Formats: sequence, C-alpha cells, structure tokens
Amino acid sequence: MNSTTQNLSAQAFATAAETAAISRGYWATVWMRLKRDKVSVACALVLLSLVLMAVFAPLLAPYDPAQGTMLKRLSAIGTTGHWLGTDELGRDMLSRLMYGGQMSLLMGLLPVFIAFLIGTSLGLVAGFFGGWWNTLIMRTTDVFFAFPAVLLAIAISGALGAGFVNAILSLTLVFIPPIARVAESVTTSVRNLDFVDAARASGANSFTIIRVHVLGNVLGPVFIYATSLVSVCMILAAGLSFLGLGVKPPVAEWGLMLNTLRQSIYVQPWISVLPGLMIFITSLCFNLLSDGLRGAMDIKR
Amino acid sequence: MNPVVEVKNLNVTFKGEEGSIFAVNNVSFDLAAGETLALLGESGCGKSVTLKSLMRLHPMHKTQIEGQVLVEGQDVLKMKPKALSAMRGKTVSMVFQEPMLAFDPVFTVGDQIAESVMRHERIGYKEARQRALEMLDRVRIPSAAKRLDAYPHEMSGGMRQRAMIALALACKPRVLLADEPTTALDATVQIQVLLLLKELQRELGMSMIFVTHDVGVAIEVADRTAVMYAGRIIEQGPVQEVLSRPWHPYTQGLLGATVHPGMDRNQALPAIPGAPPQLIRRIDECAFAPRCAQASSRCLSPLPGVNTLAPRWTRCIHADVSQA
Repeated sequence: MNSTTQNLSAQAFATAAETAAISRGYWATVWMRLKRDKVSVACALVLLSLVLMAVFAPLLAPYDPAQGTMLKRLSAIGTTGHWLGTDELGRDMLSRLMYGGQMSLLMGLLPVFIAFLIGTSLGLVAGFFGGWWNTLIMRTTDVFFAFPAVLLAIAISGALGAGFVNAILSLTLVFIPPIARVAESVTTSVRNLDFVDAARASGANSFTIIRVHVLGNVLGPVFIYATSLVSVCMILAAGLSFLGLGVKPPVAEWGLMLNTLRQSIYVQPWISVLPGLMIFITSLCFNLLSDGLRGAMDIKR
Repeated sequence: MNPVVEVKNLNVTFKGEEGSIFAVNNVSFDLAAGETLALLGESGCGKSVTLKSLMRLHPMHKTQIEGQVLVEGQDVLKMKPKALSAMRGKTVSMVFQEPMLAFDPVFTVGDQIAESVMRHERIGYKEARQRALEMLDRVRIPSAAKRLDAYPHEMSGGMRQRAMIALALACKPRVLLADEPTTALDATVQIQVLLLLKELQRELGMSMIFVTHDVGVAIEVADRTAVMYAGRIIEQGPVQEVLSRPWHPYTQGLLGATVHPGMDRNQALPAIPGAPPQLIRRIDECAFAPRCAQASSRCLSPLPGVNTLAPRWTRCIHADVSQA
C-alpha cells in the first residue's frame, strides 16, 4: 500500500516535472531568473529575516522594549545581558530594534501598498480613457508634484496631527501621484499597441481589455517602481517619527529611536548609529531587490 | 443570394486638431458568401481604414463614420456596444499585419485563443483550451500541444502569424478580415500562409476581405479586387480581368511599377510621377488627375457617378470601357 502511494506520487512528480520543462509560466520564469541573481537572493534573505525578526519580536526579544532601569542607561555594546547595549533610558537596544522593526517595516510597506492600489487604478483610468479623465486626474497629481515629497509628508502629517494612522495616511498621499504617473505613462503606451485592437476585434469590451490586457502589461513596471519606493517611504516614515510626527514614545520605531538617541551621540556613538544602520540596510535591500526584479521580469531579454 | 457584407457609401473622417482627414470617401462594395475580395492600393489610400470600419475599431471620439456597413443584414455602425462585442470575433474576425504586436506579450498564445472562445461560446476554460489546441493543429503549427503554453515572443514570425490565424478562426467566423497578413513575413513563409488561409477559407466556407499592396498576393488569393486611391475605390471587378486589362490609369501605373518575371534587371521600373494627394478636403474630382498622363480639363470637375452594381466598373472618364 505504502509503496503504491510512493509510486503514484513519484509518477505524479515526474509528470509535473515534465510539464514544467515544457511550459514554465511567466511567474515561474521570473522566479527562476531571480533565484540565479545572487544579490537579489541575499537581499531577499536579509529582508525575510528582518520581517521574521519583527513578527516574532515578542518571542525573540530578551527584554520588554518599554522597560528599562536608569542604573544601566547607555551601557556599551557587548555588555553582558545587553549585547547591543542600552538606550538613554536603560532599555535593551536589541529588544527595541526588534520591536522597532514592526513599526518601521509596516510604515515602509503599508503606505506604498495602498498607494500602489490607488495610484495604479487612477493611472489606468487616466491613461486608457484619456481626454477629459486624463486631464482631471493627471493635473490633480501635478499639484502634488509642486511640493518636495518630504515637505508634503511633513505638511500633511502636521495638519492631521501626530500618530501612526495619520503618518500612514500622509505617506500614502505622498506616493499616489508618482505611482499614478508611472501607471498612466505605461498605460498610454500599451493602449495604442495592436494587441489592444486585436482584443477588441475578438469581442472584448473596454472593461475586459483594461482588466486583462492593459493591467497585465502595466502591473509589472508599476510594481517594480513601487518596490523601489519602499525604501524612500521607510526613510520618510523614520523622518516623520524623528520630527515627532509619526509614532509617539515609548513605542519602539527606528526613526524615533534615532531621534531620542541623538543626544547620546557623544556618550555612546555606536549605539546611536544602530537604528540608522537598520534603516540603511532595509532600504538598501529593498532597492537592490527592486533592481533584481526589474531584470527578472523583463522576460523578453 | 444575399451578400454577407454590404458596404454602402462609407465615409470615414478623422477629426484632428489641425482639421479633418477625409480618409475614406463614398466606398461601396459587397461580398458574397465564400468570396474573397482584395482591397488593393498603396499606403495611406484608406484600405486599412475601410477594413477597420467593418468592425468599428477606430477610436470613437476622433472618428466620424457615415454610411452603412451591413454584416448579415445588420448595420454595424448602428450596433449597441453589446451587440458589437458579440459580433466582433464571432461573425467577423480579423488577422493583423504585425503578429508580434497583435498578441499580448504577457499571456500564452493558448490562453489568448481560449479567452476569445470562452467569451463567445460560454464554455469552460478546459474546453476552450481544447479548442485552442485544435486550432493550432489546424493551422499546422508543429507540436501544437507544446506551443499552447508558449509566449508570443517564443515563436517565429511565421508561426506567430499562424497562431494569429488560429485566434481569428477559433470561433468559426463568417467573414475574415485580413490586414496585410503576409507583409511582415519573409517570402517563403508568405506563400505558405496564403495557401493556408485559402484552404481554411474553403473548409470553413467563410468570406474574406484581404487588404494588400502586393499585386501578386491579390492575384493569388482573391476572386474580385477593388483598387483604392486617395480614399476611394477607383476600379473594381474580377481580379483576373482587372489586373490583366486594367481600365483606370492608376491601376495601369500600379501594375507597370510592379516587378514581374522576364524583366530586364538593368531596366528601371516605371514609377508614377508625383505623390498621392493630402486628404485634408473632400476630393470630388479625380484625385489621380494631377499625376495622370491622360488627364484633361474635364478631369478637374466633379466626377460623374458610376454604376457600382455592375460586375466591373471604374471611376475614370477616359477609360475605354468598350475594350473589355
């Protein structure tokens, strides 16, 4: 019985392998190309471990990130029990960096993700229908381009007030215009290609053409662009927290930690650098991964 | 027998910021079941525009279409969007010039064929894929089962055009529109694709409108031909008669400028002097007159109407029709 099952599964595996050899889907090919790119794999692994570290912070962190003793404030890196030292309130740095990842990663990813959904839809509508719709949507986004991203984020956050939700909201608003603009320009170029006419000639209505043929060709480039925005978003989020417009103490967040440790830079410079180092590594990895994705998704190469 | 396609006084005008382009003027023709019509003419003479009008594929807000386009008795120009979608690909379907551009690069060829079948016949994905496989087999794509999951860029030009034909014929249309389907292919593949199209046409009993600038291709596939110049049909009739004894000076010039066997290779091809007119106004006189050796002052006044129902006619006052 057991051997029969084994045989069957071996057979199924062989057939599956055969099919895979004949036809690899688009995403399978992208995945295979990405796996060959050592830099992208390394970045993906680093990001994965950062995410795991943040998600499982409650299990992994040796101390409570909000609890500290003034007796042990600003212990050096390598102190027994506090391997990455303690901050200006005597809280364990390692635990705070782990917990801080939760907020920082969330604030880096969530706004870009929401902006990706909204910006792509706006860009698709503007690009596909053109004319009046295009003017309305693209001129509105142009207004946002009049301000530098940092200033805009600070202004919106300042107007809405400090806090996690408001910071996410302001960052989302900052990233909708650039994503919409990329989506619009790709849509405009795709719209005039023959296969859109061909789809129409085979009976597809506008909705089907947008949903299947335009979106299918627009999603890739816009997705790559959005991944490159994640690092910008993380840095902006850290900046907002640094200015006191993001999350509030005692919540651990890398930008906020950088802010509060600023005064200790002459006492324990290396500890003050740690949150910045985390931001640096994370955004670098996102940028490199986005670069690798760009290469892997360009399937005609 | 009732014609499958009847085009009556078709006028297509493109509205631009710098004025209008009168791309197609008063074009009328009809097409019987199983018949092939070749629209012959040089670039920009309105043959592709005419073809696209049969499916109303022009950008809506910039185009003004007048006249009647009857497909199986129904006026395409008056159809509601739903009826139009149901007609496109099912009753009338189209093969494009550039097979690389006419397939969506991010989907497999099989899926794109299946998509069209599923849309028109309300069948499941599995059956639709089965149909796609049959069609790829039918257009003689080697190891069709493998090619079902190939992306367009993984195929050669000839194979892509075969796949395009498979896509166009997947729902067994009554009329096939072919917009220079062999222009982008090399000469050896061209003839294969032409023979394939003819054979499939016979099997499926469909009518075909074939747009081409290649006189040789027109002779090969068509029963009748309509020669177009500056947005008008200037001569129409059975392909053999028109191309062996052309009436209109333009058709004569066109044939004279074509390479044919037995020519002296050192001899320059006779070219028609001048260039086609800009279509920025509606031309009622003979548009070819400025380039025509036989032109007289009478050619510059509006042309008299012609009986377009005659089996063979031309739009030239000098043509010696009696020699037919």
